[in-house]
Amino acid sequence: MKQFEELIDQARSQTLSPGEKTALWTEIERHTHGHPARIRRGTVRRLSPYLFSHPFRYAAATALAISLVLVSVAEAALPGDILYPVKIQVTERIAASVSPTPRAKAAVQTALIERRLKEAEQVIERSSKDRVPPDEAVVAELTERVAKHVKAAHEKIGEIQQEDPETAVEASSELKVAIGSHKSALADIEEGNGSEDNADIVGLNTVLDEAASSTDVLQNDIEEDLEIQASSTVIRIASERIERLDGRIERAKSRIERVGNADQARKAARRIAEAETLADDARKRVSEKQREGLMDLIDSAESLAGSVELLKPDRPRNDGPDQEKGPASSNDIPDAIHSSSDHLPDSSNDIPSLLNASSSDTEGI
Amino acid sequence: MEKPSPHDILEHAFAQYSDAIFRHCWFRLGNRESAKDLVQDVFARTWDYLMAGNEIDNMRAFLYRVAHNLVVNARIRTQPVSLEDTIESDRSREPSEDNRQAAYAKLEVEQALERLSQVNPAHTEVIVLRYIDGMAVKDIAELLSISENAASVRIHRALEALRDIIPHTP
Repeated sequence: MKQFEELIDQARSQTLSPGEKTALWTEIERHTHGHPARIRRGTVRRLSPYLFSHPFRYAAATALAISLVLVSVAEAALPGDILYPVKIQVTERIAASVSPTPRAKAAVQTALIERRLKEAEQVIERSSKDRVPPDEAVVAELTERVAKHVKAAHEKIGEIQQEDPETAVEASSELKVAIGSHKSALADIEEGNGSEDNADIVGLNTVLDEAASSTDVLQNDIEEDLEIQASSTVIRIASERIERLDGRIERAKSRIERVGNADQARKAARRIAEAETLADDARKRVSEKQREGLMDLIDSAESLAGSVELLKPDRPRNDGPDQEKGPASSNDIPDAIHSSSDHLPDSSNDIPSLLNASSSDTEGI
Repeated sequence: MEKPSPHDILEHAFAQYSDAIFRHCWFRLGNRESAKDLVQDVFARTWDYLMAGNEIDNMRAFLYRVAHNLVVNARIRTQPVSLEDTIESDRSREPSEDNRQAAYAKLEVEQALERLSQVNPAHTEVIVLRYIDGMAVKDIAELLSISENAASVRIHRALEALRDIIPHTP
């Protein structure tokens, strides 16, 4: 059972390296920034039951009811309608201001762009039905608002990029999809109406084209950021691993000196040479910031050095005259399978016998 | 005394238990990189749980439960690696060496993982919980939602299965 005990002992000593811990904690912290507290059920104060016991309760109730009706009716208003300012100034402002995070704010701006474009589509369709050209002032106002929301959305996506580029890509993709789909819808309507020559629709289309291309540029910029981040993380981890690998190769070299069997020693020396070549190659790739296949190279080099480290030393270091005797006979090399437990440090005193542990575990069965 | 913020709670939990949770995931999955991904997920989910306004009485037990659930999900998604495949991959790295000898001579933690992974996953689970995580039978039973007796039986059977795999295991 000693072999199993030693394996478990080795296993228990495995930890994350300081570099790995820092990288993990950085990622977790990033998650915490992107996922703030949700409003807990029951933490929002309910309206007091005594609110309407005030002498003006009927007036207050009526005002509230009228406001609610106004706001809900205003939702369907189009530019030029009396209630349109209520829609823009009340409901949409509230939606934009209560969004808790830059991600939510960007989503609100994207939704507002979609709303304005939908309104533009409705205005164009309505004018087409009435066989009159669309109101130039209305289309110009909508165009201006779309440009304003695109700018705001870009600003919010830029803020997200600072904290979480992956989420920023997600937000910019949503924006791109919204712009793209409404561009096609507008083109279809224009084609159906034969209104390509209308200067205001052309203006809206130009704004949409610019919005689509600037969102593309923004997204490429974020994706480049992500690529650089991923690449520098791999290069940093690889550098740390190569440093450890060098130490491992040195240990393996000293182990060769203690291997008596010439055949084994030759094989081990070849492996070390191979590991050194792979390590040099990995170092070169790190200096050239080439991350493709880098970890595989280090894996292979570690595997080679590790196999030499684990060779059984069949004579002590600096054993003088014995070294002159040449390689030991093949009978002196115990079977690697059966000897593996002998060359490990004896730590059986540190951990309780698993046999004993197992019997206590199963007591009372 | 002022109540610690959720961020402080998470940071303290990470400092205290990240290595243990990492070991647990690594030995259950047999892959260091996947284990690190899972550690990240465990703490991210713990944060989400705290952010939803919940409180955690026993952080260690909570983290192990989340890790256990994530490992089970990850196992469903990934194919197990057989010993033959492992030896085959060793052969490609070290072409001139006898495969089996090379596999056993590399007596490192990876080897331990390969051997443990040959045990029934349910057996590996209790071996890791009992001997690597150092959990009491009672805690294992609670985590796996089974009785203490059933947990003891499972550990006993897992050790028996392990004896067939690791040489010199009585």
